[in-house]
Amino acid sequence: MSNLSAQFIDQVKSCIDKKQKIIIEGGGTKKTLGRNTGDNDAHVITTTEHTGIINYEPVELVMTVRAGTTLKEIDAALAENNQVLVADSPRFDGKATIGGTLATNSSGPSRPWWGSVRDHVLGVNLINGKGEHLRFGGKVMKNVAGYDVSRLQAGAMGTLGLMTEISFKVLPKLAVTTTLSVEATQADAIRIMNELSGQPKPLMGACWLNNYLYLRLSGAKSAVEGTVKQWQSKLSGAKELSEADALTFWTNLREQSDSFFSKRDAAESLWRFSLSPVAPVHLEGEQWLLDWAGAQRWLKGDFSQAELSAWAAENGGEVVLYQGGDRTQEIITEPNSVIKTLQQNIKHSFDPHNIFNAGRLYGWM
Amino acid sequence: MKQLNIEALANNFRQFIDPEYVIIDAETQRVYECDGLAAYTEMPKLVVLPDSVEQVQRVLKTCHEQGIPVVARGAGTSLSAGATPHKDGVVLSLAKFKNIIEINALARTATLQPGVRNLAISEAASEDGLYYAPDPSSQIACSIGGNVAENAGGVHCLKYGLTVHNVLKIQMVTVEGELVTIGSDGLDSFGADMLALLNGSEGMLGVITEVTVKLLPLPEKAQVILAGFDSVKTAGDSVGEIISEGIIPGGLEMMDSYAIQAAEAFANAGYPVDAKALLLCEVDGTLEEVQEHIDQVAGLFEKLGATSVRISQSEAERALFWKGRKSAFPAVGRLSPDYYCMDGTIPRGQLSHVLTEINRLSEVYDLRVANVFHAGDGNLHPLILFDSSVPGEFEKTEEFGGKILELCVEVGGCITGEHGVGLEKIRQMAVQFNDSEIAQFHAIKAAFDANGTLNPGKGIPVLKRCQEYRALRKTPANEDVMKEGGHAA
Repeated sequence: MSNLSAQFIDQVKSCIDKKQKIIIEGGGTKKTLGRNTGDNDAHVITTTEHTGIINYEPVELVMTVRAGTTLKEIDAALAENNQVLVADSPRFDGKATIGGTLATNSSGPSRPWWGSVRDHVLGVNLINGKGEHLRFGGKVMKNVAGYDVSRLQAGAMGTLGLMTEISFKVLPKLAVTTTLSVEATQADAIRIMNELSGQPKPLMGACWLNNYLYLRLSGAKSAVEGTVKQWQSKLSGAKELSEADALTFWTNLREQSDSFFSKRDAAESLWRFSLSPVAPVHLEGEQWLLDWAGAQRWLKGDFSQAELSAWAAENGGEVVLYQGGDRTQEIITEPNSVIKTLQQNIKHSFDPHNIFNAGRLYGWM
Repeated sequence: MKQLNIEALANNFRQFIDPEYVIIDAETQRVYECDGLAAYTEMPKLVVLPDSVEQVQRVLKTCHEQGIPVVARGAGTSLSAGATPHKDGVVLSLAKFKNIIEINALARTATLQPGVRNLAISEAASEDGLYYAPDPSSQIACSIGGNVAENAGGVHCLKYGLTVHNVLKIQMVTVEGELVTIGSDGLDSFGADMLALLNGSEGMLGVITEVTVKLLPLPEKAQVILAGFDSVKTAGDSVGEIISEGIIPGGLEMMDSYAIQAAEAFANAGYPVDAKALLLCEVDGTLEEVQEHIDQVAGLFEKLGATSVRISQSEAERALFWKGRKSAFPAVGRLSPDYYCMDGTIPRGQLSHVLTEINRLSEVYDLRVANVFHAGDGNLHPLILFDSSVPGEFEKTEEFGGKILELCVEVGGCITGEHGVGLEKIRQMAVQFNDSEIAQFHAIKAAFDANGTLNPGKGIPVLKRCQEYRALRKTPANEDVMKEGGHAA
């Protein structure tokens, strides 16, 4: 647990001088995400020793940590005050760091209702591609001074700089959680998940897998119990999962360790769709997992990227080759030329020498 | 910049825009000379009101080719002079883009033209039991395009977030006149989050022509507790206690005695006029949940020594309790010829200290202040009362306001929570950010607008001015990023 910012700055400056690329690595839990750049000569900056909680004010609902701090360590500190990290992101055996979680905007099953890590980040310090250590955002929930550089980092996969310090909002732990499960076709599940999402009830998870729909309710005891009764009477055959089974199910879903994910050959393609939650059933009979009430869909198997992308676009979204497949190629279809130029310009504004995680998002950047 | 031939430019625009909406006469232009912060005025060269996206594209393309500044304008309710015209430029009003394009009840989204009023979204969605959460005080008038440009907030941010948390997708015209879509109908998109960057970018990166927002189910029930306290500190501590109980209220507002008295005289909401501080705590959710939390919060307030506790017993009474708060600005405005609304954010725990310091400054500057505070999220709105007809009083007010913002930064907060920087707070940017950070902002701006013609002079100060400002005020820049944990001591 120490502050390595000064060493990081030296390393970045040295790489700028040597025109050497930099790969940023945290707990190494997301190495299989993004493109395989095949760059073996890059300098690796590891954040795993740059850890520690710098500031935590439970009453302010705000925590500030060094970027290499694991979610596990954060969870432990929050638990003492009955609070939680909101994004419900995968912990990956306790190795996932807050930096990597924000860089990949990695969110779990509660994302549609409780927001993503991007939604809850309040400020970041980062070292840009000139070796400057900069501070953006802050430790307060409302802050519109300057451009929102903190949230811009979400999904950037470290291509805009090396984050050293991250501040984020936390929330009280929800009092009670219950899970209902009911057999449903994919089409019925899509309809039901969206209809229920439109009701003012404490829904905190809605997933369809292996012909079963899973609904997680979390919140005040009275609200959860009242809703369970109402929904059980509406959804014929809906059963309440035991607490242990429910915890296993949602944890496995969050950790991507459910057999849907784990029973996959490393080379087999795993596609992640982010699209309108009401998108209809597609490629029926293939191996699908629907999460986020239909707004995030996983598909296993080898398909034409162009065809999947076209379908995702028709439904207001996109598809990424999340894992497996040929990762030396583009993992998402090329955006239109204007967006592509804007992306390149933004990258250049932070990293003029193109040293940070080059090629990780796109081959052309 | 070469001398602008206004007639030629107007004639160019008249070829594709209804000539009635290409405005070059000073009299008609007058309404555009300022936004909600009327202390800042400027006359543009030309005002244009296109009514199609294609027209917006052509206006921008033309201006880009000729290097003409463009200031996009929604309803003009900005409180930071973000929409003040540029003296050599064009005001591009989106006022004719008023249509709700689609409400998709099942997907819980609304697709809107930028001129749709904030409140109109919730009104239209209510048929389907849905609403749009961010509710700035100007929601009757302000439009969604401006809300995105300013990342507008409101009284429900602690629980429901700001505009950035509630926007899924925008369609935007770049400075070159190209139409692009940022975001999607899904919840997130691959790559660096450009949608977040656009929210709150104050019209400096592009012109928004369409917005898709998330809609939420209307809560089954909402109830408000109105509590009076004999000190600001007790009221502030009570906020922390509610949160420590694990309750996140839908709205949590505080007013000091001056604001209470003004609001009560204006709205007759039954506020405790002898209280030193007032808290309005709205709890929403299912019927059972609201009952549970209302009992908890009311018990807590009583335990902590509230001098009065009232619970709204009907929708009408809930609306009345809110009426006092929502009309606090004009109510305070009645006490004085003019008032100036500040917008800093602070860590909640610093409230007593900050209010004590504001009161001290109030005496130093001999200007009265009423405080309205979004207590849940730390966003403070001190209202400085002044008289612009007294020579030098506005300048004195601005200086006082600047000191308050610097105080907010000093205690670990920021210079603007939801109103934006605009022209108004551009000097204080030098206090919150150092030169390298400001330079990074300029580089981001250049990524979208290399020639700097979109809303020039707003939001991000030129570096030379930052150094001058710091030298003048003997304020050190926050150079020491190596000191961890932010700016606060």
